[in-house]
Amino acid sequence: MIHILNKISFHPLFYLITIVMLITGLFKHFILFLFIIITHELGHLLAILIFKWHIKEIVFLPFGGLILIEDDINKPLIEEFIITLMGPLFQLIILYLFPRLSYISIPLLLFNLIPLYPLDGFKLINIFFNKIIPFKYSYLLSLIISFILTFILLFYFHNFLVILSLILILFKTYEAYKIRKHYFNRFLLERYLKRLKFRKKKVINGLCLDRMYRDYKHDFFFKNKYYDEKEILNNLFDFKGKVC
Amino acid sequence: MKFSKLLLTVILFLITLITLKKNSDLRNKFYDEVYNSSFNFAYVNSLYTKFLGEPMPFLNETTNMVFNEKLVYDNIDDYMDGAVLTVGSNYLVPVLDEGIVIFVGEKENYGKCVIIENSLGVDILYGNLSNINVSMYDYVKEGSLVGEVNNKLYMTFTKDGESISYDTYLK
Repeated sequence: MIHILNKISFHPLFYLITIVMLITGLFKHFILFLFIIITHELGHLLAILIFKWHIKEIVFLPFGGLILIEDDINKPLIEEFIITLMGPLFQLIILYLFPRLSYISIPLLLFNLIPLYPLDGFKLINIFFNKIIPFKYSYLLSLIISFILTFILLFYFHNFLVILSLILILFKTYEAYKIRKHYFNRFLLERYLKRLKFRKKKVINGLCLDRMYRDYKHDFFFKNKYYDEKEILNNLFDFKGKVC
Repeated sequence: MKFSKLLLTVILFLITLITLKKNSDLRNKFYDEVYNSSFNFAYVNSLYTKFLGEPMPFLNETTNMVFNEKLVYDNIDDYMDGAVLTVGSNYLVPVLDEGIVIFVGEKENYGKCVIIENSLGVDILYGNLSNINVSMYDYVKEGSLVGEVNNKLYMTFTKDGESISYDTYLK
């Protein structure tokens, strides 16, 4: 428990909204906001502890909390889905238990479900795209959707705190976009280094690694021959002492 | 790092206590500041809202008991430091001017009352309430419900501890 508490950190903008709320006399709203986002994070945390994932950091952002996970990308999709869903679920429980707080908990819940990069909505659409299109493109597509939506919202709202939050989201999306190739490489490297077990199998025509799906084991069909995923990844990563 | 932060806090706290104990002038001034003057949240709030938008965006205001009524009354008379308004029985009292609730409770001569500080730093007291619908440190908008009153509503207007005439707010 203590090692989780040590991982909590606060974003500078979180301090800013704390100050704004305090000097404008919205103590109650701020305490309710904190109560709701902490319960939301506890939902995620519960699922993370059940599935034994590793937490890197818990950050408080101006629009809610964020749990950064330091674990394999190839973890089962269903686990990620449950972890993501537990947050909004806990928020719904709050909504049910305290209907009087609905004026603050409904907007927070809806905002969290907008597909913007670090929010739960993004994770949900990313999981959905992972299910239907290859890993590399699904991540890119989710990021592009997040980018466009942030831009649209930026023009729609004329509120200092909302604009500040959206700019923060824009930066975070851009950062994620910049490292998307490394992210994909990590996805491949994990499959090369670790003995991952997948229940389902997919056959890919040609030797294109970009067409690999999450949660699937792959066979590559090339020139009338089937190649195992391991062999292809061996070719990619094993330098056999060669130095390029 | 965390321990040194804690230590620093303790040291600062003790230094403040010791200086307050040694220096009686400073102590009186400090107590005067702390107990008698209040930070004008409503003023900062209105200023902030004017330039930067709502400090708490996306709030679903419709559920926040806004019934947008004006204060109407049959008669007005002087009472203690303020005024007494004659209204109907079970009259629902709306907020006269938006601000933050700084007092909820009983007061001598005024019965159950609510004090709301507005953006100009004027404390508006609503007295003789039979039902109170707001709680401490609520930020209330103009026209939202304070509570219920029977026949007589007491109101006083105070700024910096001195009562001011009610003419500016009630006509």
